[in-house]
Amino acid sequence: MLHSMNVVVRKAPGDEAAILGLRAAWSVMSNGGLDTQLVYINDGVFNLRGVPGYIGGLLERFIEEGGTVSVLRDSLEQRGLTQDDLVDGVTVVDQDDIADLVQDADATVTF
Amino acid sequence: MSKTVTMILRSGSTENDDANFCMELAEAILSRGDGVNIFLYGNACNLGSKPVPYDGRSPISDALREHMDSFMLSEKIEGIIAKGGKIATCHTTEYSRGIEGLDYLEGVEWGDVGNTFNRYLLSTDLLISIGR
Amino acid sequence: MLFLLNSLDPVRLDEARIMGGREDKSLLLYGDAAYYATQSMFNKLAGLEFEEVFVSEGSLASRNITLDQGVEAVGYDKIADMIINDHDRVVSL
Repeated sequence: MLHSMNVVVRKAPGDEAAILGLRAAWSVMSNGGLDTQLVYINDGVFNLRGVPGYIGGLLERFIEEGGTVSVLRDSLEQRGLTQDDLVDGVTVVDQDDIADLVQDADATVTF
Repeated sequence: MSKTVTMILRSGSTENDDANFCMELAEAILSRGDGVNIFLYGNACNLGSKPVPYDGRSPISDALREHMDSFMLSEKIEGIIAKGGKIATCHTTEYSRGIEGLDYLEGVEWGDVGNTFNRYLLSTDLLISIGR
Repeated sequence: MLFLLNSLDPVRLDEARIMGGREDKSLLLYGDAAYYATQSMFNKLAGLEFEEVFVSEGSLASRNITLDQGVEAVGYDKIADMIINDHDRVVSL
């Protein structure tokens, strides 16, 4: 049985994959009781810039309800972004940290 | 001891090889005596619907029709369920595609990410996502 | 760790590097990613140091591909075996 899961979001908010990943992460954390990490890399980092409407609201809820959100520093820098551009509650991590998250979780799914 | 694999599929029919890969892999997993759950998410939710018969004009060449038929997975999906696999759609992604009202293939479950997907996870040993 | 790859988008290989870290990594190619299994494309996988590279037989058949000698073609029975028995982590790219 799974106890922990990473949901890695690689797509910007205009791609359905981004909201599908966020919805899956939130529902698994709140209904499934799994220790759930949302991890944003590559274009996925744009989801953390305060997207209006349902997407931004669900991300906020995920964080408020105990979900962990990490973002890859390299992906931010490649897009000219810093932590100051992101919503509150996001941890900026490096590549080694992402690899550790993958090793530590029972499952890693990508969106 | 048998294991259960859950696959989240996000690609639909014809757009690429993902759906066929998922179903072929599901058959192979079931043949070993292991379990399979497939959650049809995003575009994959289209796969759960029964094809709607059409008797009107459809000028498709035999060669093209044969090519397109190779992407049709209805029989394979019903076969996976008949062999013990569980397949559910995400009704929310169906809603956004206007297909909530279509009949399902034999054995496909109405589902949602909040309950059905989590229920699948309760018995899952290995979780894979297949999509783009 | 086994990565499953279905696309020729080079960003996906970058993601394998990020998520795989220094762990031992193997790769299963399917769909259009099967073209990485050709002699002309196989070198693009070099920097990731995959221990083993596999390609789905089904994806080869529909593409008329000649395999690079560093790649093993596998059927679905073997793929099922690999993902269930052979690796502690399986991640789709």
